Amino acid sequence: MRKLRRLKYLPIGAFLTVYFLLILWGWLDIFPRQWREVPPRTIVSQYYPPSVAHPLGIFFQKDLLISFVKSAPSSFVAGTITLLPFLVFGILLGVGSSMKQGSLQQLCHRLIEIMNAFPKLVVLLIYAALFGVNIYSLLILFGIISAPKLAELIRGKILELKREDFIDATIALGLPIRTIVFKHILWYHGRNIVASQIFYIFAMAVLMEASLSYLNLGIRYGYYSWGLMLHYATSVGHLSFFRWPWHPDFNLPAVLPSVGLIGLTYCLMYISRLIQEREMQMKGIL
Amino acid sequence: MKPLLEVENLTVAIQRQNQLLYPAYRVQFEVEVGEFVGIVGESGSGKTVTILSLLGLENFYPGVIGGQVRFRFRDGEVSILDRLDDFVRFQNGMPHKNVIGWRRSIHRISRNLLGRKVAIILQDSQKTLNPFLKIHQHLREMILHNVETARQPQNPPGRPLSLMSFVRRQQPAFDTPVSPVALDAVQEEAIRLLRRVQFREPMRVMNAYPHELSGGMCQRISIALALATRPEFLVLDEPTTGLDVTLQASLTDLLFEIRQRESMSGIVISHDLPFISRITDRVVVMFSGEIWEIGPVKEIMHPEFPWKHPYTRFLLQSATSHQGARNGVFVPRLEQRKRKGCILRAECPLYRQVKKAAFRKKCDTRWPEFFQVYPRHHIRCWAFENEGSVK
Ligand code: SF4
Repeated sequence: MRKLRRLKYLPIGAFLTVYFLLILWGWLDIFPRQWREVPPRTIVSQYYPPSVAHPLGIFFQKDLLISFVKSAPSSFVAGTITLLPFLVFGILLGVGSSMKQGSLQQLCHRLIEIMNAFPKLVVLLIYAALFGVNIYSLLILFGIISAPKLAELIRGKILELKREDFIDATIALGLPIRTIVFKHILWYHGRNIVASQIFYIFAMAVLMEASLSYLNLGIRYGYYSWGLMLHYATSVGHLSFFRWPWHPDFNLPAVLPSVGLIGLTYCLMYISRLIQEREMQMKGIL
Repeated sequence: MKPLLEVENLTVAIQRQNQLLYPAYRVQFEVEVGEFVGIVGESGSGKTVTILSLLGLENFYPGVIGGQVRFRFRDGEVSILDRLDDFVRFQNGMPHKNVIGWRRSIHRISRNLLGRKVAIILQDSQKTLNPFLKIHQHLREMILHNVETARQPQNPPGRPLSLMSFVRRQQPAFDTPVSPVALDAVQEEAIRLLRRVQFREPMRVMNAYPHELSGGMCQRISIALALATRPEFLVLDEPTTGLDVTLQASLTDLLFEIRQRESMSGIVISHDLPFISRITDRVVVMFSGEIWEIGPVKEIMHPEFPWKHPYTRFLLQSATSHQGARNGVFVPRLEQRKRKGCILRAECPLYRQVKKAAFRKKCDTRWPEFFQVYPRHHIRCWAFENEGSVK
């Protein structure tokens, strides 16, 4: 039984290993020469089915496998860019809103409420309309407007622990408040929350990047992204369809990034849930 | 010689709807240098509120609304409630307090005291130690914090910090990297502290988490943490609560020995009367937020000593047998303060038994005053108006 339970981690571990190998491969940019060699552009020669020289075929003058591999680092970069503002704003808002009554606490509360009130995608679209399309600034904005989720969890943790005797004792022994908040509360007791939220926001950022690129608001033509692959797959209509041997409507450029996105987000969300579960077990809730 | 701690008319209030309750009302006592004062009384009598308030740690509205608290340490005097009037104003008899401003002001003062001059040991030490930290991490944190604070200049009380001096004195939230030599010194100090609180195998304890230790061991760790700050004034809040009798005895011995050797002053709050009589020099008896008797421990705890407040008598009786409580000698409530006369009279044996006594009229009409019955021994009771009249 225990062996079986361990087996459930196998697909997740395997998928994440493949993902990180893809990132490495994409960054190193090492591909066989024949994959790079695509036939000259003609209206007919843009789309080629899989062959020995191009294992997944050619799509929009690009080898599909190269596009898929080189898109993996984009998703990783998107997650990383979103992470930093998410953590900084989330922690600051969480700590600020759990302080004693005062103008700063009120300000943090109102900010959290306002940020929660607007749908994230709409905010991003308005920003893109006002300030132009820049995927980096859009992802930073996405990190900031997602921060209230982390802030609320941190606030809950601080308010819960504030009543604990050991926090009273540290105050009574004269430790500075920031040591108590950042070290005793957030580091020793809240790091599980932060870790689970890191995986969560990473998955969300990968999806958001794909969504924005799909809407043509993200990564530009000429670069590589799974969202952009989806965009190509749908935007060129009948031309993007490969006549796959066993199903006439099989759309490989759409299936490939979709599998990648679903697998990756599932893995990250699952890890996030595992961390949350473990914390609840430690508390004796589960 | 002037006392180390002087508390004058300390009044603490709690607002419940439109009612004002006084968990501490005009509390007045002092602690001499090298003296330990015990505060006894039943639960809810205002012992802990008094202590928290005089260190600026109370957190209810409106909290402290009057009085003065003055510490005289070796290197200077600190008045805690000097600026209280700036934050409290009375309207139709109800206090209105700018709590945010007050907390900011008091925090600045208490930050200079806690962990520097004053250390507090709270009850139930197993809960007062961070469950995620090993004992050596607790000790290391306190020792390094102590070194850090010793280096910093103190805040001039009452004067706001300039931005630059505030930025300059910010300590990192996490321990800064410490050189291996300094780390050795920290470890040595930790071992010394653990030996000081009678741990024979400090290394074994250092690597344990709090839940792996017994209640008595955790209490000794708390004492070691308090000693790490090298305080001049120690506050012990029910240190023997939750310990079995043997552990209580050994802890009492340990605290007595530390007290003698370090020549510290302090306040002890406890229900445990034998502990109080062993460790303290004077005792304050509190009930319903007020002090009713204050005097040397030998006199108050002595069963044959003639001048004793009826409530103190009741407390001592309750400690040895459950008779007092079962007979319902005293069941006074806070609301009784509003009535005229002494709040204890409904249950007071002196008032009930001595029917023709002259003081009964005063008991009915006037709030009792303090009378000196012996040198440094005061009792708040009309029966003692003429010193020693009632035995
Ligand atoms: S003042 Fe009167 S009623 Fe109150 S304790 Fe003394 S004797 Fe009893």
